[in-house]
Amino acid sequence: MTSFLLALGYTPLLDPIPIDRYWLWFIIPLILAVSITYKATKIPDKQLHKLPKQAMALACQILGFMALASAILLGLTEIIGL
Amino acid sequence: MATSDQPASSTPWHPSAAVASWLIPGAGHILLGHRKRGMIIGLTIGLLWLSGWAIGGVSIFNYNQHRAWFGGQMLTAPSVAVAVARDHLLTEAPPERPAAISEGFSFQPPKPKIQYEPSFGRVNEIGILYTALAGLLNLLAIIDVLYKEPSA
Repeated sequence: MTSFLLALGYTPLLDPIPIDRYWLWFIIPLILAVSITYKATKIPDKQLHKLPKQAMALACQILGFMALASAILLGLTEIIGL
Repeated sequence: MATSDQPASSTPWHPSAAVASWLIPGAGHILLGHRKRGMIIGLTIGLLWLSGWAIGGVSIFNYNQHRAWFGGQMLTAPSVAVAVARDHLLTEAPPERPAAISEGFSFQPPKPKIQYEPSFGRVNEIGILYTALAGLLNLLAIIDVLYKEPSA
């Protein structure tokens, strides 16, 4: 893909990457970054080795609540018709 | 007379470490001796910011088009540097003109600036969201480092 983009005159960091079709997948790195940074500021020094596990747990919680919120909104707008 | 009943002195704060964190995410923690924590924070925020820039291109750092989002982006100093550089060194690619119109007119040579394609739609949104969130996470790190005890 990189060679294809370069052939079209794509310049990294200047021009955008055409990823419109996959936009929803880009929420996952966002959630991971939020959970890792938050846990990195909160965990005491002695428990820093637990960071990956705790960050993953927080990421799963965020993802779960977002899925729940979107399911509720979908139900309200598409099924009930509010 | 000083007695032990007096309240303990307020927690020392570290403005220089906070400024270092703003300039380079995670640097403040490293300055205070929290090397591993600083590396984790710096790597996470840096990767998020860099991937947002790579996805959306340089046009996402535009304080004239979306001031509120730039408020989040500017919480990392590199965003401000890129926005200033974009204004001074780069110019948006002009729209392609039809051949019929361009014929017969004297052609103006392009400005001696580097041209780039602006981003639109989802790509623009993702780029802005990533970089603004990187800034907000850096604010969390700045506040954390401001009141953090230096490592022994």
